[in-house]
Amino acid sequence: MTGSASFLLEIVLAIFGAALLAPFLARRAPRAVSWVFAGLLAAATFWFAVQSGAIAQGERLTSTIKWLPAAKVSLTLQLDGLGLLFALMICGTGSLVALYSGPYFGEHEPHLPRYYGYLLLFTASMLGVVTAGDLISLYIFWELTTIASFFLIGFEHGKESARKAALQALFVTTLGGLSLLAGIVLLGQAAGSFGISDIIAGADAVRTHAHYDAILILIAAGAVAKSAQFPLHFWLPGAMAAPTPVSAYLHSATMVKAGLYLVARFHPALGGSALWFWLFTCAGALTLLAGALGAVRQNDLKRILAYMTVAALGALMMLLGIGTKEAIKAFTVYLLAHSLYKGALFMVVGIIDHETGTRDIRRLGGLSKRLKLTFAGAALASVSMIGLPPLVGFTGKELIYDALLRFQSHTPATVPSFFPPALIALTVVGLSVVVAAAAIAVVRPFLGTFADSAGGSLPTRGRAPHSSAAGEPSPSDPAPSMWIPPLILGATSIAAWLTLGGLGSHVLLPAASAIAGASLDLRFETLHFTTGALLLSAVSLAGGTGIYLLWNRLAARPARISAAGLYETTVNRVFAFARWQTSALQSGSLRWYLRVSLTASVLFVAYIAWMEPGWIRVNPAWEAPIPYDFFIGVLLIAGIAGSLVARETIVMVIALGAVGYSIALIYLVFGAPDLALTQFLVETLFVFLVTLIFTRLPVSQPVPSRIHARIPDVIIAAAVGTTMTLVSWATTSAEFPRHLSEYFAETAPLEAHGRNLVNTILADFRALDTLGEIGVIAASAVGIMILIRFRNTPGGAP
Amino acid sequence: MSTLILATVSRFLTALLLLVSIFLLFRGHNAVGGGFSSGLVASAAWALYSLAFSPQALRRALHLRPYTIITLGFAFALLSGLLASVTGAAFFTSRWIDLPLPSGQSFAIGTPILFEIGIHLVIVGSLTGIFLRLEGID
Repeated sequence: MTGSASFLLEIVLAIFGAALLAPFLARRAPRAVSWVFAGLLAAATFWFAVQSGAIAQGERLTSTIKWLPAAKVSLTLQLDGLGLLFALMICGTGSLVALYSGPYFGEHEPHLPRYYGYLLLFTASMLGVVTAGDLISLYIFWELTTIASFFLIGFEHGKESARKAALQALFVTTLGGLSLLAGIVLLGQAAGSFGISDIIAGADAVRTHAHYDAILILIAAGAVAKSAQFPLHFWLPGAMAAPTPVSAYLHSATMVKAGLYLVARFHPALGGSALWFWLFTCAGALTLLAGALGAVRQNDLKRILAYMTVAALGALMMLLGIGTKEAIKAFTVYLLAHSLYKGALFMVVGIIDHETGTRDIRRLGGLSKRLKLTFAGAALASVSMIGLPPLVGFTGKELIYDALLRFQSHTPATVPSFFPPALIALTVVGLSVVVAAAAIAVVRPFLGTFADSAGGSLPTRGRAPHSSAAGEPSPSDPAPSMWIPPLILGATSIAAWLTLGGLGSHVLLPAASAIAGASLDLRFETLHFTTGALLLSAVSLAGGTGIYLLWNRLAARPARISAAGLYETTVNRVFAFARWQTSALQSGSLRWYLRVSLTASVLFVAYIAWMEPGWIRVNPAWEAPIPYDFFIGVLLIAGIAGSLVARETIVMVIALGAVGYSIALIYLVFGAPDLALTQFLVETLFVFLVTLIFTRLPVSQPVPSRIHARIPDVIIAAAVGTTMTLVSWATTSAEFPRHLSEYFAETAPLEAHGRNLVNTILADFRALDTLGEIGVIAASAVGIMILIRFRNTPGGAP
Repeated sequence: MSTLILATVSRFLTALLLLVSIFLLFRGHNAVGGGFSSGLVASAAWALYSLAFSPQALRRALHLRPYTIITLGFAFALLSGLLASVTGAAFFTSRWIDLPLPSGQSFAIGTPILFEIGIHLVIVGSLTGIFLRLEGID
């Protein structure tokens, strides 16, 4: 397998660049922008398609940037069969979605610039995920897709449902992401490298490693969260609050498949064990069931499709769990088929919503008379979803059944014999619901008998300007850029079925080989019949018809315990606890904070003293005091006394300033001129600032309180003073290792061209730390400036 | 809070203090000084100026918004580190060039001075920003 330099990196960076430019472009040319980006992504699709020839020969394309050569961190992108399959789906559907988004939002949409920015950011990050050559880049791109998805789901951020759904998706997928990070770190350490090809090459070491179980579970958690597997599947129906183009792109064709990509990518390295089998097969099967059960209770078209996506993802994950040659073959075909039909169906639903203003299947019907071209696209997509020829969904379904039947007849010894038939039964049930849902999504709105939506008693809400007139009664086919993409996807499904042999050997076989970790000998045939699979398909078709006819009755039953409800209660409890804890600890009083912090520090030091009494020295080495020291001592004590007896704030502040000056003098006497200079300046500015604060902000003047109210503070102050004295004595009596000072004394004049050691350390040797320090100074200054703006609230006691 | 004496003296003193701060800034590498102390001296100079004249006068004298000064300073600090990675070394490797002087010696100048200037600006921007905000000026 040779790697050759290619335009891979340039393409990904170009899409990132387009994401940055998108807001400016969309503001200047709102009508052209969808065509521009559709064209860009179509060009990318074309480039990837051209690479398939080389990839089919076994080549792998790589591109590398050396990021931090000192730490051996570099950004590597690689393209193999699996990546190519995903890349084609990402760029292809992306191009169509970009085109579709134009008329969906209309050119008067004020937030269109943001939308395209996020959409392209997502596209580039998703491409990064499937082409990442090392684990760290994979993780970074993974989290970028989470962030982009968050912004896209919450796009209509005025609506609370959208905000909540976006937050929910963010929490769940980020939780998975953190688990993924932990798994990645362990995996990198177990394999000795963070490069994906290295890990796959050294797979045996990983599989027998002590941490294998932990690695697998952690990475699986990431995949489960991202691909909406049970029990973390509930965020996907919630994500339907996003605009429909986003649902068509992210939440059906691309982002939710990222978890599947992860599992497929690591199959050569981590797969084959019992844990892998049980984990992914059960997760997938349960998800398939959960999606099927959830779908039959819905009346909203988007939600039905969302649950069906959950079911499809479950089926795909189950196939990866099984891991046999036939299962992987079924996986590649069904992956492609699902993206094609689900994306198209979501776009159709978007058109229906756009034209009639509703997505409720109880209120839709008879649209085929009006939305003729939309109906054509919808029909193609739903036939693929039901699984009938001449569309590739047929082959996908047949191959799934095929793989399950083959698994049943060749069950490995470690699997109990009831399990494969159970899987088959479950899959039949799940796919029956898929059939029913496909029919519901298309037959009902278009061919159903409910006449109102075609007759126009429903308000047309569409975003295009032409529907604003009150007299516009009936929905009609929208702008071509909206109904053409579903038709293209449908046509692709037909073409894929017809050319399955060629498509299979060029695209699907390399992908399957990459998943299996070895060259597979598979043939993809257009006319693929096995009796068993056909029988099961017939059963699921019949079952699906039955469910379709009973849909209304099923939809009326209420939901019992749901995972989403569990999420809600958990989140609410966490927030309630946080609120209680904050109001208990953070009372808003600066005196209280000081008391708590200082007492805690003293107790901590006391604890250490109790554990190791040896460090306390009560009689340190005395040196004879010189006259300067007396003067400093007098100034110090005078300042302290003044601050204690002062009745006015200004006097107190000046007295504290005197204390600060005397400390600076101590630094000077002890030979730290830089420190002394800084201390003098800080003290001067402190006096100035505090005076300003007391005179300009509505701060209540300190009231001298009774003596016995001050006793706790006296005790705390005495304790802090004693502690600091003991600590100072201990540190000055200790022996300091000299090698650091010697190193700096030698190197600074030569390499750093400086003789001031303190300064060269700050600004040269440890410049990165200092950068962080001034970052903190800048951030706190900005925060203070913003908070002072709110100073008009009365009664702001310190 | 302005009196005639303070106003007359401050004109002179502020300029002197600013010069001292620049002096501290450039000598920091070899003697007492550096970005932090020079920033503080400059802030003290501006504080004196605002006391002697008015906060509005301080804002006019600064020309830039404090936010801008902070950002500029941080950008200089970052730039001094990035200059190294542009030439292929690790981030924040200091780069020096030797400038020949007429007297025959050579004068070394490098990226740390850019970093110190950045520190200086951040501190000046932060403190004058807080002063001005307390007085109610943006």
